Amino acid sequence: MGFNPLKLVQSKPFFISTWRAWSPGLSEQSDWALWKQGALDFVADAQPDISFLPVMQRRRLSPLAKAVLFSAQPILATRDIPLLCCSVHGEARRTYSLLKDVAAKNPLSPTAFGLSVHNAIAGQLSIAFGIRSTTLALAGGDYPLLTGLLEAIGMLTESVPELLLLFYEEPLPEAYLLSTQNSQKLCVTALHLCTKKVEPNTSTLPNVHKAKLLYSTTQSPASAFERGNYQFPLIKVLLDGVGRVPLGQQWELFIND
Amino acid sequence: MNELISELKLLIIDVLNLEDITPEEIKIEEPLFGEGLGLDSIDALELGLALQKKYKISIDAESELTKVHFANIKALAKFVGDNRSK
Repeated sequence: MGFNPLKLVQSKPFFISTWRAWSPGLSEQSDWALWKQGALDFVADAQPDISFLPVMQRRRLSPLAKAVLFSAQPILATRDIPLLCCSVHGEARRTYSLLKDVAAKNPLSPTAFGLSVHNAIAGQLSIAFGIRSTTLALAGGDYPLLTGLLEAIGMLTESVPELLLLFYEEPLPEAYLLSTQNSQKLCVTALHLCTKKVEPNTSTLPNVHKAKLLYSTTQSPASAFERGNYQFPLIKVLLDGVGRVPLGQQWELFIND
Repeated sequence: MNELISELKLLIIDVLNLEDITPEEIKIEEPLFGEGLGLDSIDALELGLALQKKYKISIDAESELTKVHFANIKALAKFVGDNRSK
């Protein structure tokens, strides 16, 4: 008998020990709480504070990579844990500028070329925080939250006790918008996932959520290619501390529910 | 020569994204790579490309002399001054 996904009704419970998200103007959970109430809006051109990094390590980071490092910092400052980096488009802006150089027959920047691969941000995280644990870069596809969380559940089930799951997107070059919708806001979400309940040792990032994935919901989000900002529904439920997030293909994330 | 030195410092700051470093902080006899300014091998490629673009200099990546030319700003300015065709 082969594997029957219909029989796999739900995942083992796991814990979201803490989370952090960044979008221009929204850096801390308290900012996001105000945003959810409609009391705070995005600030165009805001930059994340990554002064914790030495100057020479900061200089090659794209705006997206900066936001990822900012979001991961309190979690990775004290832990060497596996990284799961999930993005639909990755650093599409860098790739696009390289493609324009190819089209114009200009020589390519070695730096931009080296950093245009999908796992470049995973590599930059590992260098910046000295991570020697497994790092994985996933292409998010139509349902990035599902892609990332299913992979994370697999790792947690396979005896990885904790990991950092990251979702990140940046505004796409205009030329791409003919064939895909995309968040026009840079947005990063970092989730510290654990098999056991551990109190976060970072006082700045409170809250521990018990979570699980359930199969068989009839709710389904639109594909990430058809709508932008797939991270916002997740952030809203994290702020509420209870609720469900439809992930796609009949899967749903339950948080304290 | 001094003009070329200033130009090269600005070029390095610009193409290698050293926005937090001022031209005065780059000492002309201090090593550019490893110790000193702390540039790495990707920077060497990036800088080589910038020199090709700006001064039309061809750089032989295999030549041992290239290391000497790229040692510090002073050596680089001499190399560019002697070989530029633009």
